[in-house]
Amino acid sequence: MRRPRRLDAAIIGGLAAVAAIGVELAVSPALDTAAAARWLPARVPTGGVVVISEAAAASADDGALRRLVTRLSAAGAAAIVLDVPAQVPRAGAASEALLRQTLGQAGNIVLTLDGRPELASRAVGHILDERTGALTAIPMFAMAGERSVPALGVAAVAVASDSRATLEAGVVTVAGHRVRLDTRGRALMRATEPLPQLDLADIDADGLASLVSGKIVVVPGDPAHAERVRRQAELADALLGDGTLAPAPRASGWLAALVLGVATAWLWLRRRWWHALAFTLAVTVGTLALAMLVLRLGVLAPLAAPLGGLVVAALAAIGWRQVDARRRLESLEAELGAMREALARHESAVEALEEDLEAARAAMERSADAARSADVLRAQLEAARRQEEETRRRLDALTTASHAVTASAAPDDACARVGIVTRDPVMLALFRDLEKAARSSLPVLIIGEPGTGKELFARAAHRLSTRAGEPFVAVNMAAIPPDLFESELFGHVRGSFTGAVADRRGWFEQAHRGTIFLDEIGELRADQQAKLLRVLQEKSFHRVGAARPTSVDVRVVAATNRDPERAVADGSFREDLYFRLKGLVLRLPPLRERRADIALLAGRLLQEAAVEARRPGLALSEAALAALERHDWPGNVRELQNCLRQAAALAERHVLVPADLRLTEKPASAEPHDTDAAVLATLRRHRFDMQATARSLGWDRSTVTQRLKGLGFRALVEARGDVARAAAALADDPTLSRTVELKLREYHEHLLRTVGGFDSADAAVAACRRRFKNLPERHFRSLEALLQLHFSGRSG
Amino acid sequence: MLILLLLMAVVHAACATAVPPAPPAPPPPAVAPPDSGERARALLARGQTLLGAGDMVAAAIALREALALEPELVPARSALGLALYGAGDTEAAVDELRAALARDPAAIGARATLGAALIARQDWTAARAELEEVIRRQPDHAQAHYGLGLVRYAQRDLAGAADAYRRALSVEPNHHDARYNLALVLKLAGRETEATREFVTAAEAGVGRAQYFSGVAYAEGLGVPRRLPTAIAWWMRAAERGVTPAEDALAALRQAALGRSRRPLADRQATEQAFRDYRAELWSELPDVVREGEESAGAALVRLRRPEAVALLIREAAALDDDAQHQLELLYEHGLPGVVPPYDARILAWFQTAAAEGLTRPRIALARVYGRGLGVPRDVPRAVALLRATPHEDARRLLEELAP
Repeated sequence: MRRPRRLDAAIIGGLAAVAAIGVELAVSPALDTAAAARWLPARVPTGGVVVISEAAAASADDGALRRLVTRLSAAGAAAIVLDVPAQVPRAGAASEALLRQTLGQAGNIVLTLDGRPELASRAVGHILDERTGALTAIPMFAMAGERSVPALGVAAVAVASDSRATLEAGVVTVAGHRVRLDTRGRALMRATEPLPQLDLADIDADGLASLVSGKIVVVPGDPAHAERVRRQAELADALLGDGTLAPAPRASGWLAALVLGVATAWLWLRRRWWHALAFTLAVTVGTLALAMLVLRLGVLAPLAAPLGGLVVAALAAIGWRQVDARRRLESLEAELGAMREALARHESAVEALEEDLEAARAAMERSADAARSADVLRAQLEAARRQEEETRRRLDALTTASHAVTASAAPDDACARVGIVTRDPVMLALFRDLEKAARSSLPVLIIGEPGTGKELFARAAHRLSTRAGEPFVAVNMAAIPPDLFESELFGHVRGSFTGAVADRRGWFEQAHRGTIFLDEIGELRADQQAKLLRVLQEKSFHRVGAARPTSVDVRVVAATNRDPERAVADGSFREDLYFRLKGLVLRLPPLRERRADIALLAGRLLQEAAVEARRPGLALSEAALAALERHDWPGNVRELQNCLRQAAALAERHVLVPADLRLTEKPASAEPHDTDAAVLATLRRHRFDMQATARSLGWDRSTVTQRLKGLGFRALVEARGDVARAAAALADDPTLSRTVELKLREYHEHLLRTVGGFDSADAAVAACRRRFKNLPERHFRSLEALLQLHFSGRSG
Repeated sequence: MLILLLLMAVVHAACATAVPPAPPAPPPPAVAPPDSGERARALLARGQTLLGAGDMVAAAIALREALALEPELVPARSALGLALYGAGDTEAAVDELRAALARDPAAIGARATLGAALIARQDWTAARAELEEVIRRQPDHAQAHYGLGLVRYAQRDLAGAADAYRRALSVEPNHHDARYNLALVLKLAGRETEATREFVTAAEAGVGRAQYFSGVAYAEGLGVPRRLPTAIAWWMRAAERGVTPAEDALAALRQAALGRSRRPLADRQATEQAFRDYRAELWSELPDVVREGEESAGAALVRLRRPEAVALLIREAAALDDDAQHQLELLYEHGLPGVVPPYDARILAWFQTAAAEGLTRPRIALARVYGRGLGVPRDVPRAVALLRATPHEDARRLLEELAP
């Protein structure tokens, strides 16, 4: 039972969100803070915190430190932060007692925890921190033994403002400044431009009060701490200037990851890919913009989880869409195969019953039993026809579904990228075959009327192959003068003939490692075919006048607008060359058989024509479009293009009407379509669907059946009764072989049933002549041969 | 440190004399002259004399000569160790003293000196071992107890340090350094009352830093009733001994009294009153002087033409007495014939200190000294700079005079 797509989207989105959250938990908040650090300029200090230069502080012994504290205190410093080195004793008990006395008198001293907390001070602060990108995360409180110690910067602000720092619900409040902490109890601090610095000369100067009055003064001490103490000074400044960042609640990022993941997966699974891509890009940009906006407001928005969820969901959905489409396609194709077989059986049954009924009708005049038998046959025939119709209906539905899946699995943009404009399922299926075969060096033979896009497919074969970076050489075989054939294709050496003034590389050599496209291959003369065949066999050739052969590695794509089998049959094309060329055979349908593409192509071609004619804004009226769709387009897309170019150049209005198109109905093609080869080609084009072939040829179905039966008998004779081989030869497409085989088997068995009561081949042939009245006379030769084979086998 | 060294020298000499007679000397080396033993002892005696006189380098030379003649002369090696320690060559001192003790482990003086040298090297563990060995051999060795106090403080054993200092004092009650250090460790241990008692005792014995801490105790009421005039008195005495924290404390008080600090008005008034009380109490130091009218103690001494008038006037000026300041200006310029010569260096030093502190009258006085070259090379720019930074009518007039 298939899950609904909505559920798939929810599962994929949910899993993507979980994956993104997992990654976010592992690296957070490095990604978020890295982005923030990139967007945020370093903040300008408030000026409320000044730092004694490290050099000055480092040179201060106890006496100098006492003097420094005395001077700063007298100058009105609001708080004096000291990082007193912990070495004990500094200079003896007297020095220590004096320092303690001085610090006690100053009254607003803040010490680092790992300095000398036993010295007199108002507060002690820790100096832990953690770099996260360009931001710094500072735990606002840390446990030292059993007591909670605030960060040095917090303690400094608390002392300077004569207040206490409080922590409630993840928010630290100190002197009216509020700081929201992350889940680990840390404040995120932006990078800060260097704080104002004082050196010893400033401290001894008269104007010290103007520099430090009311400010926090930080005196670094132990060089090992200097950097961390500086960051604590920046923290104090950030607290005064509200320069910390408040992290958004983590759950908001997770929720966003879930929502974006599910929405993205849903879009990628349910909508056209470009809608989903546009949404993905828009949401990404929107998320980044929102994050930047709230960052300006001092809030660090989560980015890693939502964007991670979005990207992972998009990728997973794309992958799932491919897998799902492939799975559905495989299932549909299997069902289609079964249905085709059923249809073939039903068709054959109907046909056999029709023949039996015909025979029964003839016999009715002779006996009453035959009349009864005819009634039974009529009833059976009706039932068989109903079954056939039902099967056909189901087959049509399956075919439509298969085409829909194919279109979604291989979006027509892949076609568009190589310049093929189509939404026709047959063309898309051909393109898919080409995509699969392109990576190999399999030769490709493209058959199609002029203007159906043979060269586009040839170029696509090149671009989709591993040879895409190598040359693609297109050669119109019909345009090469016969006497220059060898020189053009294989090149020549200087002096090899009159006019050969220099060495020349032929087309094959120019296409070395790449692809050579041999267009109009059906126009080659016999001798030219032989030369070409040799190159294809040996992969080497002699330049004209050269003694040594030249080897090339070339992939050959050939094209023709003629039916090569007919050409082989009538002897105008070498069979061995044909078999060399037909690696992958692509039969491009004419435009009249893919009328749904006409509107698409017309829109694109009219745009190009309008640009060419410098008449922007040209459009087709509905009537004009309908006329285009009605037209048969014997010249196919090229004819359509020329028609629109002419209309764009000559039309007086911007909206083209049918008259602007100047379409003329041409007389039906004079080419005979009732030859066996023509009938077989039509059968193959319609995948041996008798009804569609009959409709295409304008015949009734029994006529087509008789023609196929005749062709089948001939193929069976040629295959010496091997039904599978005969079917493969007739189908010329492995995917059709099974259908043809079923039909041949049924025809053969029906034939054998018909002659079951006869003792000799002659009698059986005579009976068959009566029975298969509509079988063309020429096929009776094959029928006779078959029966001879049968009776000789029976007697043997 | 010098006192400590001299004390050790004396103790060392005493120990050296107490050293039992040396065992029979080994046969003299073949190359030594026959009277080398006599000469070595003579050099030892000379070295000890030089040690007692504080000439460590000369003593070391004499003692090395003695040891060259008689290498096994332990008292000479001990004395050399002391001389080297006194000269600042701690490493060499330790080597010599250890060599002496290797020859004579009972040399108490050498071991005590070794303990001191190891303290100087901040080798607390080794120093403690040596000093404890000294005390084991001679429990009443005050200097060893004192050294052990230093070591135990350095090892953050405040109670142990206090105990060691007390033992030193029990042996030698006038060991002022031991008392001062005892007071310090008591203070660091938070035992303020005991600390103040010891500080005051040491202060009365003339230990400058102890006078400062006594002042702190009275200023903050640590172990004694809070009384600012007494604090000022102690700080004045400490400042006269060059104790900088005392000078700073007085300067801070003056700033408070002049309303230049952020202290509240009540504090300012209390500080002014404390200075007045201090000045009044100066009379207690002059029991033999009869006061005339409202004159100050300093003015009385000037009237009586007594040489200690300058010191007293400086104390009064430092206690913000404008009259005393005026008297000092007159005394500096004209002297007190037969008693105080003009341009007295003590008065100039006060002017400089007070001017740097920003007190108005001393700044103008100092500017006059430099502007007119009174006892110093004339330096008008310096005088002008001082006057320009002093917003006062007298300063303006003097400035007009110096830089018209």
